Amino acid sequence: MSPLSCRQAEELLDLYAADACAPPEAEAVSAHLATCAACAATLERSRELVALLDWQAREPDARRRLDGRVAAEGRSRRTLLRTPPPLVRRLGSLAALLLVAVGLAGWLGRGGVVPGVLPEPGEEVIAAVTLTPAAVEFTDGAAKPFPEAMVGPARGDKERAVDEGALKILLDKHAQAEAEARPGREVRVRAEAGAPVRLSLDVRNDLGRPMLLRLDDERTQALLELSGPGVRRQPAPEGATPELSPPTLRLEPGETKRVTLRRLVSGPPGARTVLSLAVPGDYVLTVRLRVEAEFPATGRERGREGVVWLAAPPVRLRVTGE
Amino acid sequence: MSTHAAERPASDEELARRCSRGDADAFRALTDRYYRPVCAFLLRRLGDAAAVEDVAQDTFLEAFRSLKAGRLPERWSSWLFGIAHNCLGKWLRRRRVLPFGAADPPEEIAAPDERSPAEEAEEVACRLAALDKELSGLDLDTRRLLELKHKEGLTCEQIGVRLGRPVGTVKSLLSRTYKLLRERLTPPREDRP
Repeated sequence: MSPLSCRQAEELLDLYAADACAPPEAEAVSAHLATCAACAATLERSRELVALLDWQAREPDARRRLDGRVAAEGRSRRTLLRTPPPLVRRLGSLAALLLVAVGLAGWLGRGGVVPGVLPEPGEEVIAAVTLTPAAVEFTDGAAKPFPEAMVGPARGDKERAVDEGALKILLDKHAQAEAEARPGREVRVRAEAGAPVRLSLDVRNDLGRPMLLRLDDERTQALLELSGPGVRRQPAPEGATPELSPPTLRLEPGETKRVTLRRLVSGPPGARTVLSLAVPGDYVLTVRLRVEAEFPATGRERGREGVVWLAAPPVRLRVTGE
Repeated sequence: MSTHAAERPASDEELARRCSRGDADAFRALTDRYYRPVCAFLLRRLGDAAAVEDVAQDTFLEAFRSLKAGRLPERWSSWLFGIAHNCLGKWLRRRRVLPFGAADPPEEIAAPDERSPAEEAEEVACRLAALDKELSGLDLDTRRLLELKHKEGLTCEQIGVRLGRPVGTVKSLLSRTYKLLRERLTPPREDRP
């Protein structure tokens, strides 16, 4: 199917959201969504509507099933309180905090959609690489440096894995960029000299309570190093801040939001484009972030504060001549 | 005066107290009040009706067990939404839901959201109420079509066979109906450029 215009895509978006498109149509809509922010926003509203219709249709039966289970529970003599013992709860919180800080998008190849990233007009997402938590510590003394905290299968909970974060690399679509995935967690990007790069980070709260991330200049530290031709392990200038947007982020459980890093290593203030790979050759970009998090008190849990360190494996960028 | 007192609906906390003493009707009354708000809160996060039912069921059962065990919340609604939060987190971890699916569309840039869960739930509950109203205004054929799609979970091809109509007609009618409902239910997006 040939590429869709916005008007053609919009005609199909509701059916796409309801999983009622024929496969060729669905593919064409997916391809269009990868490059069109306006249609992606419309799709979000279509999905909300479909979810409301699905739920509204099953509400009476769902309610009956709940009443039945409550009645059965009421007849049961035993009361099952499933609150875990304090230590287990604390460990669970730590593991969940690692899940929180980060979310992951996998490598999807050129021309595909890297979910969670909304390219600007003229940009194309060409690569995604994993961010992993490097350490987590609570400010009230319950520090657990990585890897003694529960990265990987957690102690006592082998089923639990640590979700990962997403660092997306966006290159100008006119840069004729190519990228290839490598085994492990390394992504190689091939781009034309002079290609600008923008970075964004998706943050997901997988903790069972709300979370407030402080991303303002005073509370967030970023270490961004670029090495390559003409650039020797260039860290962010002393005192420079990454200009994260928005400055604070409230995340409900299960919610994912995006943080854009507007300025990293170089570039004029406020510039969206932060790296310019001007000289052909191999570059390595390393990113680490320290983010402060606040967990408001809920009905069961007291309020807490914590610090999360995030680190990404090096991103290798091969820049070819013009 | 006593008549007035008798007519006034019991507070949430009073119903919770009664429930903890074994009054099953009291818990049903609480469920009547809060089932939709809790589901609305979950729907916003999960976006999947079956998952919402699962987590809502966990939430109310856990609340019921706690009340039976003698735990009385100071403020029922905050307590219940707190349980819903916890159940949601457990559900996500149990299912090991990945943050993003390969077919998910790009997200928009997030804006800080300072609303409470109850406020958010109220917004979605209002949209559900508006949806009820809009659906009741649709003709019978269209309501039947939506029922076959969303309640019985049929594909457009299956609906076409069931209704004896070409699949193209089914899709066309569905598409028109979705568009109509979406436009009527979507609030003005002042936060978007």
